[in-house]
Amino acid sequence: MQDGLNKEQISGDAYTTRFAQGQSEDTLILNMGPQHPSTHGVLRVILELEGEYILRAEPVLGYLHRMHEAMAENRTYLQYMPNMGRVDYVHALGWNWAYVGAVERLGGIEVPRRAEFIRVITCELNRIASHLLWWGTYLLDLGAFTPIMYAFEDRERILDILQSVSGSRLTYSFFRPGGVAFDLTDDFLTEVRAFIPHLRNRLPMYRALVTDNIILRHRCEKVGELSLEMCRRYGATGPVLRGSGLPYDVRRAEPYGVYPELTFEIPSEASCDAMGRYLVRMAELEQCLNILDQAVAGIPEGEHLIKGAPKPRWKAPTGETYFAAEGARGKIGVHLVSDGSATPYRCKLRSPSFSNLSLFAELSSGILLSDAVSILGSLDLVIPEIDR
Amino acid sequence: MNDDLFAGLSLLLDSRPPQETTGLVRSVFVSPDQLVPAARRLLAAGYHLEDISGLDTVEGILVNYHFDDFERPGRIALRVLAVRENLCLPSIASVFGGAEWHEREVRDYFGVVFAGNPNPANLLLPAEDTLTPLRKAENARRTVRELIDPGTIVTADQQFDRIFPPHPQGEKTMKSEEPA
Repeated sequence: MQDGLNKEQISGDAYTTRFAQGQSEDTLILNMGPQHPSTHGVLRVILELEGEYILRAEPVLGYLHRMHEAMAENRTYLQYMPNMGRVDYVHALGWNWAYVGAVERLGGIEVPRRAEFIRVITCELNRIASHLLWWGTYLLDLGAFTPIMYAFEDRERILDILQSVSGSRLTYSFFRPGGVAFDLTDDFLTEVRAFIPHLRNRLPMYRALVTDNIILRHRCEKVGELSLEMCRRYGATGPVLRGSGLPYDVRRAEPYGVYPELTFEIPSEASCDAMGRYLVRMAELEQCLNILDQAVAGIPEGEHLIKGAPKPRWKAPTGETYFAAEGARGKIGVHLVSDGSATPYRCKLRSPSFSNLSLFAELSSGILLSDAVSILGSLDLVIPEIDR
Repeated sequence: MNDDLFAGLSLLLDSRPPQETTGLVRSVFVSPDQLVPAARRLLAAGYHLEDISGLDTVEGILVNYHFDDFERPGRIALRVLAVRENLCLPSIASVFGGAEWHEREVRDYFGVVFAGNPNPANLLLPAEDTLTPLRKAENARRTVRELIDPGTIVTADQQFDRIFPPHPQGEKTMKSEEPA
């Protein structure tokens, strides 16, 4: 420390001051974020460093907090739909599905078969887009600039396809209790049919370009090793859990929609490290394509929204319900409590990134600072979903 | 297996809600002093913590803990009431590490204090805020019995009817149904 500067003068805000209370001798307190590029905008992590090693870490949340749960209590069930596109904007349709699933379960609403297939197709396309975005930005964090160009080229096609049917490119509000908002356009299925082999042909190139790269392997292998027992204590789900060797997927564990009729595998990796999580997501891209193949082939004619679907002032029956859906980041949960009026009494949103990040403090103890970047990226965090 | 999950603990109400409408296989009300032992049982049985959420009711803040099992899916809701005169519950962060953040979120939104939470500071709201945005106005609150259908009752303690009194007109008291 320089002469004339004491600890009080250099300390930061309330969070840093509190964190610094446990500081040991000869260590450095460092703020990583909220503007650090590898935190993707608005996550802040306070670190205590001894040389290049992390002794303690504490994520500071709330920079993108919008109080979605309070918003649910001052609007009707249908008016809340657009919020679901903004909780996790990268896999917005996963949240769409979790919310309409909860409303349908609460109200006993049926969904036409065609709508179920439309949901599967759009949700899986969105999942691919989400994984591609993760892939590009993760490698950007690790210093590889090129992959994001390829990832965004492919993702752009998905955005075009989804825009043609939903009207938006990112913050989808496409599902409705009892179906989906719009029927498919004429060329939608043609576009999807063309996209499936396109991406399938790109995946070997992705593997050759990146996955087998020795630098990537060194940055990911044996980094951020996460035991299954720790996943349990923190409620980690999705590719983070599957990267620790347990093939748990809500689409199979608590089946919903037409997923039970579709054949797909749940990839898992027993290595428990950042590479395991990487490989799981890459394998999931292929599984998404398999699902798309079957859904596009099997989609029946019919209605896209059930007759008598909830109107804007629809009143839910009194009671509570919990519905879980598999998002790109893990288990999305919506806990709805209704008092019989047109607005939810309580709507709790369970976000997978929230649980996945909460284990970071324990996981990062004793690791290198540069590995923290690799670990944060391997958790595939979407900050607005954490803060809600 | 499930039947002796909480064996030996005193439960206020143990019931099986209809899974197709509630998404739960079991709903358990416990008193605050039984919360940590119940959480330990769940961890030992391989359950993971999904979330913790508050619910503002006439009786107080009802805190719902959702647990699920990766290998044998089936959601359990563990419910504990924090009364308004003393909004304090024991923390389960020493059992489920992930509970630390969930408890801090409930503290932000409802003002419930979790004794033993290793980092009792605001999580999502600004550091100095004490807004408790999800608390309801007094006339907007409903009773726990109005909101939550317990389903088929397995065991019911007499205390349950004292803590959550039935409405004078019509509502039944909680009694376990005789097995057929």
